[in-house]
Amino acid sequence: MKPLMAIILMLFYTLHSQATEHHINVYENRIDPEVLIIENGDQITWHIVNGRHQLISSENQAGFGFSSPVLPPGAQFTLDVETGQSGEVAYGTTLNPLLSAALVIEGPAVDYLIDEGINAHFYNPQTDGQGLLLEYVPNTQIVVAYWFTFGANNEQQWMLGTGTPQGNQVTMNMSATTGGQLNSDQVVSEVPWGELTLIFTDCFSGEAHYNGREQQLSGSFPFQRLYLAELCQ
Amino acid sequence: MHKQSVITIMGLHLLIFSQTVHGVGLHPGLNGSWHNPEQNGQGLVIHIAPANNLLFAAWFTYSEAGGQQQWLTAYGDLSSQPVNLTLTSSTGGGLNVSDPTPQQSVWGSGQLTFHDCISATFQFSGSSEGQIELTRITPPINCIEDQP
Repeated sequence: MKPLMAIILMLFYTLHSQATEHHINVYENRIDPEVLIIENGDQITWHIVNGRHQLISSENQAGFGFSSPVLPPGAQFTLDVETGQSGEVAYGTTLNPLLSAALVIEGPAVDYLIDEGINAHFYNPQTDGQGLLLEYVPNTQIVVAYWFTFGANNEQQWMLGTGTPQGNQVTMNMSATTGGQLNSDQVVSEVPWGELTLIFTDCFSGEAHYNGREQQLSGSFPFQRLYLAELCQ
Repeated sequence: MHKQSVITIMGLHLLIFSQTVHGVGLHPGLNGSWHNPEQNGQGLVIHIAPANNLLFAAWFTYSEAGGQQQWLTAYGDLSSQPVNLTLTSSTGGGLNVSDPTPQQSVWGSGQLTFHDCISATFQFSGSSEGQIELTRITPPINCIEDQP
């Protein structure tokens, strides 16, 4: 029995200690995938398809910074993710300042699964006067997020996005609509803003990570529920 | 008046009366995204929290003159329907920063009347006045209407 148990334990350990290899293609005008969810211990390889790129990460709270050499077409750049922390890491390329993407490093496994318990108003107590309204729609299993905040010139700004949750987190492509008029049928246009990832600890709180490509903004903030909700008690 | 006409009118009165008394209580089944389909790209997100005796809403819209995004928040207690709302404006802040601190001010007042689980009327009065007939964007969760 003892050798058998040892084999099972070895197999179990092997299965759980395997790092996942991820591949990202970098083009002149896009990075694919634009948002990649990874775990500590994973390995990432960027493949330069066309253009000459130097990939540089932004300052982040995940403790994961990198700067590649200038990479010609056909070159690869590989990194092991061993920060031990979680969060969003935005990065860009020197070829095109408007071209950016993000890695989301997952934290320790959390049992909480996103459901309609998140349907409420969330905010960061450190930045009162702005927040998030969230809605999980059970029949389509998507999360709708309304982020009401401010723009680069302190003007009011609100963004809307949807995404499919994966466990306790969801990444949404956010867009802002412009050109409308209060209580009017004036036609609006939708402008992509960037992405927002919400990682819930439970249905009361979590961490938000954003990467606003158009405004070249990235960062994180903790969020918590403003008031109780019956579905989250 | 013919007997048939009287019966028809009585029937219509009964129908109207039954629709009048057939409403919906203020409960979290009404929570979600609402808009006027003829005004694409703007609307309200409504949340009712009975434990807090609170209706909170955010109105995602644009400036009166048009062109600029504008959002207002609204709150009211659940003691009556229509729900009387105070509409507030938060201005001058920055994305995910505490400095500058947004200035909160009362923008105006409003009323929200829920007719059933999928229709409501929002009236507002501030730097402009108006009324918006709302329907749900997303389907309701566990919304129960009053029995006629």
